[in-house]
Amino acid sequence: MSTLPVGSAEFTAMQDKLQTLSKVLTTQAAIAQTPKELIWTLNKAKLYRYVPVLPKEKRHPVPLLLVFALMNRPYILDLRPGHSFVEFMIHHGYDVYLLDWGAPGIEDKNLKFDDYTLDYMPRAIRKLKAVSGATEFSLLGWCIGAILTTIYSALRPDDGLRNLILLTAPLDFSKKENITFARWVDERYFDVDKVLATFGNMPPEMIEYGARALKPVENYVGNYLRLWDNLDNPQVIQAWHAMNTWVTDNIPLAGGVFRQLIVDLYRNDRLMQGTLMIRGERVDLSRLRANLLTVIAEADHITPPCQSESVNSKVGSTDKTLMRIPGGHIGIMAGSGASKRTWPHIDEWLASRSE
Amino acid sequence: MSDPQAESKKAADPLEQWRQLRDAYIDIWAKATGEVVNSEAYAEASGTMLETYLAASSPFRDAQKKLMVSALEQLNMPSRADFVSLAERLANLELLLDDMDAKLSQIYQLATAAPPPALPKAESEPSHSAFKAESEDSRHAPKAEPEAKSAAPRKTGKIAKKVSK
Repeated sequence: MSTLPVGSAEFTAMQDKLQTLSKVLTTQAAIAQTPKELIWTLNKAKLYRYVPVLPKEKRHPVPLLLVFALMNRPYILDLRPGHSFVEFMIHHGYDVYLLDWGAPGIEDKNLKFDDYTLDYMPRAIRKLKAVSGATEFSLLGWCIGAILTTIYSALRPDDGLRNLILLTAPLDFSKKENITFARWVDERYFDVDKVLATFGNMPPEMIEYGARALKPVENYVGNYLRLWDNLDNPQVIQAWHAMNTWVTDNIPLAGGVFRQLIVDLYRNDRLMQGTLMIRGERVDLSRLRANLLTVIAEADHITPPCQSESVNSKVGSTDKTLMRIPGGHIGIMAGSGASKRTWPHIDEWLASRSE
Repeated sequence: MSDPQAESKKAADPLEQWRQLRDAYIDIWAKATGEVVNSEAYAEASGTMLETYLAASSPFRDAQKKLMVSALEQLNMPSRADFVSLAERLANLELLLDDMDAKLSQIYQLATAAPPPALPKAESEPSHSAFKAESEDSRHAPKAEPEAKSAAPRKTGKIAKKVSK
């Protein structure tokens, strides 16, 4: 039997590492595996119903609708088997629906919050009610999805919304010194009209750059060093691969919404001031009466806690809870600790209010 | 709890000290850049860069757009603007269809739920109650209805009433 030359084991190990690295950086992970059916579409938007795993008598009668941000794919809520919020919720007896906004084309560049909250959401909810047979429902909005759900809930308080969960919701823009994005899009430095006149919609590359540039060293260096250090750890690699697939899969943001986000919210804080107008209606947060759970990520650099803390004092709900969870903007829901630190708390809050 | 085998492997790794030093350096670097990107100077600089890029690229983009439009026109082909306007019309049609679909479902439900008419006198009752049920239902239905009404063709309402009658 021939002996291997000195260093061949190290060479093989290095070769394996490089193969893993190449695979992780050049392929897409298998994500969004929980079975679902498409029940409604409108333009690019799609409403999915996740196939329940529990019999009807064991499920909560109030269905749950998930609404994610407009400029990212919503499958972060169903990242990979065993690490999926959707999977967790359907196993805990919820009838879960997901509103996927899809990627806007240039023909959608004029879509505004008005269209999403008054044309798309009410129709999707109408379908949800028809399919589920329920008259009441719960809404979970995350990031910009939380802005949409808040506006909708305040404008349509009698639509049957029983519970509203806001995750890392950027609603309060008054403390600009704590919000890096607010500084970047200040009217002295950022000409939103010129950007939109050039691109129509906000390009995904610019959105991705904006999110990554908030923590450039962590995102452009630290993230890849962590990958390199763990190339022989399949669990870390799987998690990194899935997250990287999601992080690099951005979609454009409709120009009309982007303008409202910058001018009405980041610059003028109109939602909290009670001066935001949506298709001629003033968004009055005191009209929001659903049971409210506001979840704050303590280490959130995209939506700092100060942006979500004050909403509970503005709404008309009598049942309202503020929950602080250690972690970042995405980590609290999709990180390795989410299944212990976040999801059970959301389930605990929602279960008693979904009977 | 840490794995003792992994710990001993880590201790024997000659690169471990270098890795710790590297991580410490990266932490310092991250804090420093965090302060930089959060400054007014960075906001101003990135704004200037973006402005410069838009100003420099705009003449080329405009020229390219004009060239493409005229080329498509010469070839008797539809332009992007034509497709956009078509897509917008399709999206509006989808809204109308969605409202009609919801109305038809409602009518179907009412029609299948109503008891079969037995007596001429009772005949008017179900249709009356069907009307009532519809209006009550729409009170509980999502407030999409008012918006839908503005977007939906008035005809759908008339059709609904005709069928109920």
